[in-house]
Formats: sequence, structure tokens, C-alpha cells
Amino acid sequence: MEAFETSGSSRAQDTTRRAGDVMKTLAREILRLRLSMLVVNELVKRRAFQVPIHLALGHEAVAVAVSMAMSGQDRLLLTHRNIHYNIARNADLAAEIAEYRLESAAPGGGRFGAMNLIAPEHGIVYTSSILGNCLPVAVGVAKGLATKHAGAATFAVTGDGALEEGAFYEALLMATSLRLPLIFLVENNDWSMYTRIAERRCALDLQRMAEAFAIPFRRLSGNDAEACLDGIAALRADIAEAQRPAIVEVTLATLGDREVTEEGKPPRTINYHHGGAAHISYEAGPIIEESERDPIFRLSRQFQSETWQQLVTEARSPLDGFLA
Amino acid sequence: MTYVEIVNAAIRERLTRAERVVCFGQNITVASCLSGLTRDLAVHEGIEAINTPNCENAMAGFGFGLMLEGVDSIFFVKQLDFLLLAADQMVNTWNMARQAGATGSFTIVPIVVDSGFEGPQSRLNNLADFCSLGDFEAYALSDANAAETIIARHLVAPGFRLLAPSQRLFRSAANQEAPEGIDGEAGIFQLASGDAATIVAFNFAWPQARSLRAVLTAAGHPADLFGVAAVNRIDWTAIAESVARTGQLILIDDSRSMNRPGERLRSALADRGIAHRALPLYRRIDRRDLSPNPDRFVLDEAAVLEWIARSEFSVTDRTIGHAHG
Repeated sequence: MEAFETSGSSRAQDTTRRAGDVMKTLAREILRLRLSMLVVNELVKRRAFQVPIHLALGHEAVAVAVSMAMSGQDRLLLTHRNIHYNIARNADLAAEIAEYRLESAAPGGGRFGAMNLIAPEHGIVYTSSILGNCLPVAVGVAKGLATKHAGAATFAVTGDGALEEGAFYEALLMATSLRLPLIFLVENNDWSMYTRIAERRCALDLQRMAEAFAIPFRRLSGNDAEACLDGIAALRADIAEAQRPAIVEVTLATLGDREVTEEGKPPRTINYHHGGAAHISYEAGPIIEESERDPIFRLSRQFQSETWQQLVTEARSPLDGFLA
Repeated sequence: MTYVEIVNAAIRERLTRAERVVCFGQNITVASCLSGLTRDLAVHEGIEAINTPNCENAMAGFGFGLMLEGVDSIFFVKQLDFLLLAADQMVNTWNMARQAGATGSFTIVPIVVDSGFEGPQSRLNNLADFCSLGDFEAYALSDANAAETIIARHLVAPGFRLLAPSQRLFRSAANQEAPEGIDGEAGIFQLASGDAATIVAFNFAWPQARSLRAVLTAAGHPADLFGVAAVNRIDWTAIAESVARTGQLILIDDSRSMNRPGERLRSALADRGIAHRALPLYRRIDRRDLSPNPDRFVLDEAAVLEWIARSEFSVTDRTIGHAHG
């Protein structure tokens, strides 16, 4: 099973040790990201944008972990649900909002909308609203990067729905064949639009798929910020050193769903897909659910109450003005 | 030299002048090297030639990923039909790459398998359809000498395009007449001059157009002859000037497409108010060519001669070409 474990390289171990020292930074970044998305949610509810926005409430821990694990030359390719990575990589929420408002003064000139928003200056070189489309492109980016910067890595983020596309298999095959340092990061929220995995397809064991390709695999819990950072940083170091791709499956919940009841029928869950999450508010945040589904709730329990409140207050301070 | 030898030499010559190019595709460095098309690509250390797995979608995405990183690449494809598997990348990823200002060069070189006997799934020669989907450029390498010019200018240049050689022509001897490229992008070539009519050949119909012109010349009707290699963004000025002089336009297109660049030419002529008679000679598209067949695009040259000779001939739209010899 050696091929399926991350290497014990000194670089990987150093990265892991450093991660242990940065819990407060991790918490600050995750809080900033959660509250920033709650600001955007409020603006969506006010119909401030014409572009469709896919929030990623509940995806914060993995986005911050990836951002913190990235080195200077690393590249990140995303899907239409990219807001969490864009905000994690760019602390300027005003710039993000300007992009959504299609303002020409925005860093990207308002030319990409939300579903294709990129930020090359922050390593986000490509996003796609076509399921699975970014994965083959990531293979080319990884190859191009390898010709210019030794030691750099590429991250391709996708969802469990894209695993059903042939592009996932093809990209995996090509990246493995060419020995490219590329992490296929699958955010598994169990949903593809409005159907759960069990409602649409057979089970798919990504670990066994990684075994078939003889590449590393990690399964992480998206509500465990520290584990996400440790796991992704270690894997990033491994693939850069060993020059091979890897698969990371992050199980998480996209928050914003709600249960509805109709007379005479059993309650049913309406999944959040895009637009505003009507019953979630900035004021009531940052915790959305007091359950293990919410990475912020879990994170809050890792700090003393006073420290946590201070972190929340600090995170809110620069954001309150957006909703004035 | 044969057509494929000239095309291969032109590719290698262009690579010699390039600093760094990633060439990739299935079987491009082994066995026949795609019938000689991709032989000896690694002309210096900066040129990488990669035999890839069979995954066209990923390979097209790979090229666009390289383009985003500013790395030039060429994707050689054994058969144009296979490229349908990469349609998402050629349309959606290209849209993003150009919007993002990607600086690299990405060229796909798909062989148009137009020999005919391969059967119902070896039928595509519709470059215009691909271009219409993705709004990119394509060039039909319908003539070895013109191909040299097109490859020199477009094989490695910022942006994305298709350069499509014709398998039917691979073993043919190169035409000795060097065509004159007459627009800045070398999408249009003047192959011969004359006053009796303006013959314009599209897609891979240049050989048929040359043959037709020879028949007309022998009958005392020498015509201007243009070969249009480009499919998109064509500057019609030179052809319009010719039609204004000759007053007679013969359009020849062998593609199995409803997207006819010749119809765009006719619109351009109408916009310019150039009076003329037009004779479109387009491939008849029907199900018979789903069966293996010689795939001959044969023109009824006698009927064209009659049309030229009898200027009062009233029919202006006729389809004389057909697919089966």
C-alpha cells in the first residue's frame, strides 16, 4: 500500500508542524471567508447582482487549507462554485463584489461574471461552469508549469458530480501518464444540483480508483480545518517531490438547504444550489448550524469562548460596512 | 516530393524556428508517425514530442492548459472525426482562454480522412462547422505549396486554430505551381488568372477547381482561380475585385456542411453591389456516402462549360457536384 500513502519527506513533515502553529490564522481566514460569503448572500438576497452566484457555505475549511498550502507558483483551477477559493485567495472583498457587479474597474474588468471568475494574480488561472471541464485543462497547466517552475504544484477542484464525466477519468489518466504534480480535489457534498449520489448513480470508491492508477489518495473531512490543512499541505509536498498526481476527496455539506413540509406529505429537503440562501443571515452568523456539518461550529469549539468571540469580532469589523 | 512530405517538412521547418513547443498526440513518434505527417518532430531540445493515451477531450484541454501557461503546443489527431470528442474544450475552454488573454499558441492538426472507404464514421470534412461552433480559425491544407505558407504563418502563433491536411492527398505529387498568397493571413491564394469567370475553391476542392479551370481554358475561357484555405475571418477584397471584372462566379466546395463560406462571399458581393451570375457547385449531401465509397467529388465540367458559354443561361443556382463517382 506504499503508493497510496503520502511520503514521509522532511518537507511534508515540516509543513505539517507549521500547520499546528497556525490555528489562529486558520480560524481568522475561515471566519473571514464565512462572513464574506454571508455578506455576498445578503447582497444576493437584495438582488444586487445579475450574475448567478453559487455560494459555498460549509466549504470554507478546505478552501482556506488549499490556499494556505499553495506556494507562490502554484496554480488553482476551479468550477462554477468558486467563490470560496476566490475569497480565500483574495482578501479584498470589494474587488470580488466589483467582479460580480461586472464593473470595469474590478481586477478582472468584470469580464468573467461569477461562474468563470479567475484571479491569475492569486494563482486562480481557470474556472469552468462545464462539469469536469477544468480537469483536462489542469493537466495542461501542470505540464506548462513543470516546464517553467520546478517544485510547483497544480490543484484542480471539482465536485462529486464531475466524477461522472469522462473528463475526470481522461484527465487522471493523462496526468498519471505524464507524471504531473496535480491534485484532483473532489469536494463531495453528495449533491449534483438537486439529486443525491444515491439517487443518480452507483457508489464510486475514489480510493480504489487511486489504487488503480497507483497514485496517492487522501479522504478528508471538510468540517475539520486542521486536518484539511495538514492533509493537503503534506500531499502537496509529496506530489511536488515525487512528480505524480493525487486524489483528495473532501466530504462536506453545502449549507443553506432547508426542510419543507406540505400537508399530507413527509418533510423533504430542498438542497441549496445557487442564488441566495434565504433563511441564512450575516447578522446571525458566522455559525449557520450548531452541528458537525458546519466547520465553523466545529472550529469554535477548539477555542475558548472569549478568544472565539474576539476572533469573530475582528473578522466582522472590516465587513460590516458592505451592508450599510 | 509528395504532399505529406512537404507538409511534414514545413512543420519541422517551423519547429526549428520555435523556442519551445510541446507536440502531442497518439502514435506521433512511432510506427508510420501518422503516415509521415509527424516524422522527426523533435528537431531540437526545446521541441518535445509526446505519445499520449487515447483521450481526445483531455488532450484538447491539455493544449489549452499549456496555452494558459504561455507554452506553445501542437495536437496531432489521426482523424478529424475523433475531434468531436473534444468539442467541449474547443468551444468552452477556448472561450475562457481568449477571454483570459492566454498568450500561448495551440494548434490542432487533424487529418481529414476523406479517402471514402473507411465507412460511416469517417465522414467529416466540415471545417466550417467546427469554426462556427467555437469562433476560431481553421485552414484546409488543400494544396502542398499553400500549406507551406499557412504552416509557416500559423502553426506556432498566439491563439488557437485548426490546420487540417487531407489524407486523400497524402501520396499525391505536389503541384509545381507555387500559389500566390494574396491576403495578410494567407487564407486566400490566387492559383491562376483569366477574364472569363472567377472560380473560387473552398475546403479541399482545389484539385477539382484546377481541373475545371483547365477545361475552361482549353475551350477558350480562361478564368481567375482562387483557393480559399481559411474558413473564418476571410478578407474577400481580392475575389470581389475579380468578380467585378469577370461578372461570373463559380463556387466549388466539397465539404459536407451547411456552413458554406461561399455563401458568405455572395453576401459580401451583394453588400458591395457587385452584379454577377453565380454558379455554386456544392457537394450533394445524402445518405449514400455513409457506405464505403470512393468519395469522389466530381464536377459536371461540360455543364459548367455550357453555363459559361451561354451567358443568357438563366439558372443561377445549380448544384452540379456530386459525391459518388
